Amino acid sequence: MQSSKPTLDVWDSCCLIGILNGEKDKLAALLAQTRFFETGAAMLGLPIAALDEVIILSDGTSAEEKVRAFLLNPYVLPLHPNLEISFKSKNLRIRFDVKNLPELHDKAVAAGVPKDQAKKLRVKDSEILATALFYEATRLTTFDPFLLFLAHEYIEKETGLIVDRPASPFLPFPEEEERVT
Amino acid sequence: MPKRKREPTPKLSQDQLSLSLKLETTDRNKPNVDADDFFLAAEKWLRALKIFAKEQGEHVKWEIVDLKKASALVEVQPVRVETGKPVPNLVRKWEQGLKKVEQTGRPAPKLTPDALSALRDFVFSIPTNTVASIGNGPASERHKVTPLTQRRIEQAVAAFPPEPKKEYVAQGSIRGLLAVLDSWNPEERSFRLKLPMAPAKPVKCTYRDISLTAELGESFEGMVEITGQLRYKPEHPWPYAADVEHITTLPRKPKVSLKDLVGLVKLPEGEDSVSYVRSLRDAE
Repeated sequence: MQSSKPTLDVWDSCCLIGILNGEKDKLAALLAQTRFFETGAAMLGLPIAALDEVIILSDGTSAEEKVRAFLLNPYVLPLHPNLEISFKSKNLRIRFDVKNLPELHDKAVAAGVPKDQAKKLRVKDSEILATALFYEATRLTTFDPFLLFLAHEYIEKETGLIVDRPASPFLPFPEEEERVT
Repeated sequence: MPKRKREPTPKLSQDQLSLSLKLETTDRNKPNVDADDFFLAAEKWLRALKIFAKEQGEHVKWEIVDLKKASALVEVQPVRVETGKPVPNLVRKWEQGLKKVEQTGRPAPKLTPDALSALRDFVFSIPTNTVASIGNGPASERHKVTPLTQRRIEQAVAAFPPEPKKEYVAQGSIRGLLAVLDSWNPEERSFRLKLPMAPAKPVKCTYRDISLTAELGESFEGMVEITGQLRYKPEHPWPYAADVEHITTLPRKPKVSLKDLVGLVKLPEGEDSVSYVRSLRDAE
């Protein structure tokens, strides 16, 4: 492990489930992150709220043992909820609700979010977002259109947390960085 | 001795029982108030009243006494839930608190930070093309919520000192590198856990169960997951100390990588990971 602080990359459950389901449009970008984790350049943060969904999906299947073994990797950080996260999550839900932010729905739909998902931030989504914010993650990797919209429109400017799909390389690979400097 | 005449108890007028909110537009050509504007402001106003009542320890509901379209006026009164009787004292306290804040820009004794914060939400929710007036009862003079009112309420909110946050303890688990080991002192057996995300601030981990000592020896300089009571400083995401109950040694060399997980599960036809996760979360 490196002595300097690695980057914390928090994954939404759709990332791990995308890999488990072998989704071709996501695999290359997601698997490309492995080298950052295995070299200690980044830690893979998994909020318990997201981990639940992965575990429930693999429970009782042939994937169960492998998922369990994967979660024991030293670069995997299960991120536990606590009171601060609960309050942060509640505040996010109150804020990102069309009742309190009337323009939210129209803006989200204009940004490509399906109409039925554009009204408010749901409980699990807000827990995952609050977890990434609380643990001061560098990025939250997700494919969820509403989370991506909220981040680009509000969260990134206010907090610096990058919320994006994994395609964009968020940090140079250590060897590349050395070459640059 | 002549008998003293008892003074008659003054009868409470409607003004002393109820509070009202009135909205008017500033546009003479369009005198009708937008319904959305009215309900949004009324909702925030009612929320401020509810929080105020709750903070005063009053278990009341707010009943509509009057609702007029022409002037977009709503009038409500607090009614004790158990007895159904009005609570004029609550109306009086609200008016006094509001008056003091408006005059001085300082917090009023009856308005707690939460109540004041809800009041601020209300006064800042009033649309710019609308004039809102608040007061008690239908007859007495209402006064307008002006930019000065907003400023004074903002000042009063800011005058509350922020509540100091305290250290807290939470049951949980955390992963880190097992570093300095100090198992010689039976009074306080401890080790240091170097967290990947806070390497400069190792966590002081104490434990009582001596059977953990052997586990620690095997895991030295490797990654472990400790479970127990984690102690946090306010505003810090990672613990600074822990009372350890259990230790799990993580494999030094990963046995399963992300690549090994590819294609192990099949989602139902037509679903991908995003739609599957959405269906779970939307159903909650």
